[in-house]
Amino acid sequence: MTEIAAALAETAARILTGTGSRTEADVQAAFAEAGLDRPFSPGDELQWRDLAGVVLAIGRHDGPAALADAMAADAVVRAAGLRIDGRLTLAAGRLRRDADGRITGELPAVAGLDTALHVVTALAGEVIILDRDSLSMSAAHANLADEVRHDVTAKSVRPVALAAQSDDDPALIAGAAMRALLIAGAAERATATTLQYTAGRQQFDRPLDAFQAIQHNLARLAEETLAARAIALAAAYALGTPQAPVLVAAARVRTAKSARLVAEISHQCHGAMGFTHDYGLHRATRRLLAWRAEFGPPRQWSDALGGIIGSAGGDLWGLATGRRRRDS
Amino acid sequence: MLPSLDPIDLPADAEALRTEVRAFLDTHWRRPDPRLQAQSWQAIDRDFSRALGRAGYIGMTWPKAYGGGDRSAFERYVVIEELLAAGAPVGAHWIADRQSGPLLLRHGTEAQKRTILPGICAGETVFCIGMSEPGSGSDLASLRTRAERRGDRWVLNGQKVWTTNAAFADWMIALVRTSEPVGGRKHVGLSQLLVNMRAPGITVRPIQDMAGHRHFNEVFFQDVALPADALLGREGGGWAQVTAELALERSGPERFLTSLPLLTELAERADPAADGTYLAERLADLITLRTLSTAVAGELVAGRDPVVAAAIVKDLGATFEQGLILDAADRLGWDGRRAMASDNDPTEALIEGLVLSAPSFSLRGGTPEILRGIIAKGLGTGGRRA
Repeated sequence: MTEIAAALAETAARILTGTGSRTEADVQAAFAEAGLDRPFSPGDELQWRDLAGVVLAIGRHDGPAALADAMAADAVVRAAGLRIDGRLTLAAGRLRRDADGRITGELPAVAGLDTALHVVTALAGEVIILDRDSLSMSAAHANLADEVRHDVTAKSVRPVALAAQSDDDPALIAGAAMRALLIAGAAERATATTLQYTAGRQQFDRPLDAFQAIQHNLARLAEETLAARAIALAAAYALGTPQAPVLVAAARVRTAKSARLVAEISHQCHGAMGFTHDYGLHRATRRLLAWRAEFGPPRQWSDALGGIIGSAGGDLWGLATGRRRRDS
Repeated sequence: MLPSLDPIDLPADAEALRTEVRAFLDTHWRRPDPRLQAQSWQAIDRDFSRALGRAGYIGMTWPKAYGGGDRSAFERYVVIEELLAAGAPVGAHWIADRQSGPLLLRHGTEAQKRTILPGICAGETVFCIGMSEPGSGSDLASLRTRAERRGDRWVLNGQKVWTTNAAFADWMIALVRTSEPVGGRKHVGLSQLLVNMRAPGITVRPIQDMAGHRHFNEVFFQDVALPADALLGREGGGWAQVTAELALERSGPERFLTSLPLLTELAERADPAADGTYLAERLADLITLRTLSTAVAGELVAGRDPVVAAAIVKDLGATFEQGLILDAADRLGWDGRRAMASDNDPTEALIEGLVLSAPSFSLRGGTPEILRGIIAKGLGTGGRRA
């Protein structure tokens, strides 16, 4: 990780764990103060290489995914060459363009709508910015981790701005990459919590982590956590490059597996304690399972990756190395 | 503590080699033999090794003075991952290129380096590794083969087993006991010796494995006299040297690419509706493993020693390359019938070879049980706080 990346991740972690961060609004305000809500602004020239660690930190400290969506929305706006002021959020869904060029459709489970002024989304290779006040929102609902989401309907809405993009759906891909990073961060939290618990809890006059069966479970937690981190970072670093569709799809498929295994194993190692509301493990594991299903559930991403494999004529190695075998 | 790794991009000069290696394979591995593909990096084809040697693909990172290529570890990574992905028969030089050569570079005498390394680079010289013994598998330090110093010679007695390629190897690097354990600490008193396999007193007996191959051997040493400079590295420093050597063994692409030719076969023939999800999950595993493995390679280049991350690559890699074999075979409609030597379907031969070799994937280079123990230790479990 670059020096800048480490410093930014440190800043994010300080905000997320600080005493001034009681509510989501506090955290959001502190992120904005640190410039982390619009980090891709011209002049700083930051890349995902510098900022992916911030998203990992959000996941690691039980933070709200809305913070990551704001960052990703900023990245999509910037990559499209647009300038939009004010707080942003990101959405992906089913939209269509009406005959008069206006936009109609549904954007499910959007985060950050309490404060965002604009929704960044996409339709048929075009980035679309919609004014939040032009949209109708459902009553607030919650994901499995009790994060606030709104289902959004656009009815013949005139977009604030448009820009052509080559990516399949830059909003979907960016949002999906954020969920992979968040899952990797939450997996680190669940694993660290489990290591701490099994070191402290004694049974049969020994700490749990002195038992080989438990040690092997802890090893598997470390494996799944490192796997999630590696593929999520690889996907984030590839955003905006031709490799993004393959790597983001792979990251979502692989982190879905990690999320499930880390949640299962960390609860198993905690016994009944991890199952209580007072003990914090569920904050990480509920996030793992909630984020796993957002910006496309695992099935959608395995279908997408399966489709990519089919179009590549089964050239798995070409897809893995980014160089098709037959062309070389 | 949890290991922390960041993905790296292979440098441009290493990527540039990819096309070159694929062109080499188009010439020298145009019609892959499925029986050899199924043996992956244990498959022996002496001519193929010599051709690789001529192309400069063996000992790539070693100094030119010893026949090497003076190239980067990343360039070597690209070459070996392309060879392995194609299931090319790299077995004759594999051990020498991956670990014996680097050991000699680090610990060998100038004369040994000048006489032995060029032959490895040419794809001629074959090495084997003398670690396991009848009573010492995962508990390697309990080994009993012993070398005694008599005058200016070492005299070797004992037995090794599961020694790959011993039947035709020129040299063995053996881990042996050179002095008694101190205070019950059996890791003390072990040393590495460079053994000339032509020396009198060495008997090699092949062991046939369940796939029908004779890669494995028993090796017996009876009063084998070796010169004083047969000692590699420090006398009594064998355990530390072997541990470092095994770490080199753990994180390379050979830990997850063994059965890729079969998975590719399925991908090329797949029914998108039935196999799409399965293939997507395996490709996601493959890309993740490659990301981890290249990141560990980057750590090694930077001079760090990512023991836990390397063990993680090996354990996840073995699970991947072992588990996909029957899944892919089932999806390809394999009927379990023994392939006939004549006129059989190459895919059936590949499946059969892999199915029968599969048990070894999670044994060689450290079992999951040992690897998970190493990972757990690195995490600081059981009071072993770093």
